[in-house]
Amino acid sequence: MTKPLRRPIRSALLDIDVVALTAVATMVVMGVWLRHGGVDMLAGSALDRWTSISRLSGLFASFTGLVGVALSIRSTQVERKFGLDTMYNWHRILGETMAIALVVHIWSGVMSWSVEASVWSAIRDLTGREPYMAMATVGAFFILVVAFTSLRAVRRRMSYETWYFMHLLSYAGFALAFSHTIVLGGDFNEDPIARWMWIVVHIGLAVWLVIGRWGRVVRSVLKPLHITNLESTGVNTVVVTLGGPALENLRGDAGQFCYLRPLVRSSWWKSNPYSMSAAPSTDGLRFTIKDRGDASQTLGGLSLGTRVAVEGPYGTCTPEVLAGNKLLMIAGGVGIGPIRSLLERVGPETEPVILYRARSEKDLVHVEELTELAIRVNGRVQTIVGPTSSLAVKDPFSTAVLLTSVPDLQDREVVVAGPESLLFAAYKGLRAAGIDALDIHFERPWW
Amino acid sequence: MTRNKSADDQFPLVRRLAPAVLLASGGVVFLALVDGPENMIILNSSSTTGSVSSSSSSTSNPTGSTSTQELTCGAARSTGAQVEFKWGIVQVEALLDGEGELCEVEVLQFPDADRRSLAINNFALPILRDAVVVAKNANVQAVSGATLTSRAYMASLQFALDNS
Amino acid sequence: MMKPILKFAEPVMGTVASVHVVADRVHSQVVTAVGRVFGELHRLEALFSTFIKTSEISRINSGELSLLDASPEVIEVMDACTWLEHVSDGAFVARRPNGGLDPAGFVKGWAGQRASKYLAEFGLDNWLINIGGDIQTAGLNADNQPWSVGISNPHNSDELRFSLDVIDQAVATSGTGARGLHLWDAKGRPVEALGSMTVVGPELRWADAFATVAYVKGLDGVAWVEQFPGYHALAITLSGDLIAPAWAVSSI
Repeated sequence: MTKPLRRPIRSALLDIDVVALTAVATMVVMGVWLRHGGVDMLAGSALDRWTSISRLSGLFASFTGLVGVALSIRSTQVERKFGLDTMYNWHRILGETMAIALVVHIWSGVMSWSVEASVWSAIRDLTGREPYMAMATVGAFFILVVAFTSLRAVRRRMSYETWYFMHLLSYAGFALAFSHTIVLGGDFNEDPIARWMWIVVHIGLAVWLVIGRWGRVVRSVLKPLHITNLESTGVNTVVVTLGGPALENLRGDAGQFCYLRPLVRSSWWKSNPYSMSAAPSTDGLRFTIKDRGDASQTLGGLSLGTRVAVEGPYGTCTPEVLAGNKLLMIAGGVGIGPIRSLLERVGPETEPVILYRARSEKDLVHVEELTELAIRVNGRVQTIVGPTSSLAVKDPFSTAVLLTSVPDLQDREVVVAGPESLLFAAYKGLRAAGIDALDIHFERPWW
Repeated sequence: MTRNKSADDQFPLVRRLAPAVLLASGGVVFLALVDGPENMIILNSSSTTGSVSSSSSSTSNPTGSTSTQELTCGAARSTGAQVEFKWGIVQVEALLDGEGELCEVEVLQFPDADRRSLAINNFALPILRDAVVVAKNANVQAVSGATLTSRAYMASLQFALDNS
Repeated sequence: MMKPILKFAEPVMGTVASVHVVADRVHSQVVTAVGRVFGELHRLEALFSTFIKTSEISRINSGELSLLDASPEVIEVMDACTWLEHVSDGAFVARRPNGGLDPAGFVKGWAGQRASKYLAEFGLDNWLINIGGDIQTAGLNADNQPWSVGISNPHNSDELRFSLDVIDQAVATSGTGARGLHLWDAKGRPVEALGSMTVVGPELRWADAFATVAYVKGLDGVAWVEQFPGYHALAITLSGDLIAPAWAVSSI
């Protein structure tokens, strides 16, 4: 008897909690700086001024870094509130901010040290002669490398895992930089209250990270699912179903995605996100995987029974966010999975219109299933196939074209899933057609 | 994705760990090279031992040094070892008079003025001269020491030193 | 240009105290001032010596006198000793296991500094006072140079291990000089025994006490002394190595 999985929990977090938490954290950081005369020092001698700037930028870099690390823990409460996509976008923004603050911190530190000596001597002091500064130098180097490799242009040039393993160096970076903040940092070395607060925050975060982030990985490996069905569909496309007793531990819904880690010798160290292409149930989790790169290929090439560690499901674009209005669903590429699974969970009153964009006929998958599901709820499927240059219309998601295919567009809620370019094009056209931003549901591109 | 698939060939994990491991080892090497144990230095009691550069190997101990017959200070010179430590290199030169006795110590090399030593100079700090010098040769006005155990010995020695 | 230097020496406090005064000429002011210095040292010895039955310390230890009724000097010294015991984590000891007071570790330096006030009071700017190796200097020596203080080699007292040129600074050295003697700190952990520990700083009373503490603390003592602004330590190990904070050399 097929039963849907338990629905994801509702987050206890409220908007106001997040605002309050951010405000308190900012006030504490600024408070530490103000408490130790940060403003007065700005108006003081050159040494005081640079020292004050260095302290503030150092505090700010630490603060943004700590929040960035906290987001990467993927806390369930936070994830359910914002979605992993938003969290990782903030992680990126905070990381970039931290890198800039760190550069300011290093620069102002060197300036303050060189007020009374040569710049060269200041640099030598700050890279090893002062206590714990050699460690801090290495830590800053790690963090700047991590920030650099996370620039889109750089990141694209390396495989996900290469980037990820380098990204792990940021933990070492934080740990190495910690001592100098306690020993040299004017904000912590002479103020026991601030120092203990700082130590407690770091230890607390470290414990949370180990239990929350790495504990989750360990649990997923200890209680894996296994491949219960493998089906080839279309060109280079495989449908993988994962099942097993561990399913009982999962909560999930249509429209979500999971991190999958096949527990085989060649890929136990690779964990990649895949969208579910069917509403998760006691029958298992179904993923439709196109051969895009190495990881997808590996997963499709596995044999029945292979154990797969599953983290998730994640994602907030579930049937819960739909208000029950009529629906327009726009899908492209990998986006067909969430759209297909959501379609299983909507009612006949939604009369869904599915616009399915693909570069060529062979890229279309699940068209028959989609059509069946759509007809069941009074909907229809429309495919838009061909390279953009060959299409009859210049922009398939311009307001005029959208209105032609979906005359009652303005009455509908919209779900968009697919690659970045499709999301942006569709969002632009929909907004131009007067659809409220709150009525357009999508996961932000971050992968 | 413009990824080179050949990277996947035989040791995909090793290959992808390599940059991170390289960076981490670079950090460890840097720490091992740069981060000394403490903000302290050790000058060897014999200036011919320690980190001695090949060009300077003579001793600052005047005993047995050759000298000319002139009685001016600096008639003979003896260059001490270059002693390297966390803050830089120090090298001193002992100046001997015609009788081969120590009369002056010149500092040939010392670390660049930096923030720390500048701050210290502002406190009018003591000047340290390191050399095993025979007491009667040293131009000192008083002696601070720790070996004075017997009171009689202490009294005679101090009289001798103070009035030498 | 060499100026006249006047040297005085007198046995006191179980050792010898000497005073060097640089002055343009010998005048009665100098003699009076130095006389006051020795007088003060004898007075303080009579107050603090545990070898003198009638000293206040002896009377306090025998129960004849309450510490509360002791003279201000005794109370000042015991206050300072208490502070030193705290700040040294017990490495400084001014009380015997039986509860009796023995502030000898502090009195010599403190008395030297206190007595030297008479030199300043009589308008003397350039002088050196040496109480059995605990030295306080003021101004410059007869050559118009900083006072040069030799530190003896703990293994061979005929030798000086190094010397310090100082202006307005005190120098004190502590150490047994005995080879192979094992020391334990307040928590019973063995410390690496040193040949001697020398402390330089503005005031003799603290330089002397800090040297005593730092010597007991072993190599850690060098860093321990650095916490006190203006005070610095230099150690000679049993093997004869000189260990100094880096500043001491970079300021050569």
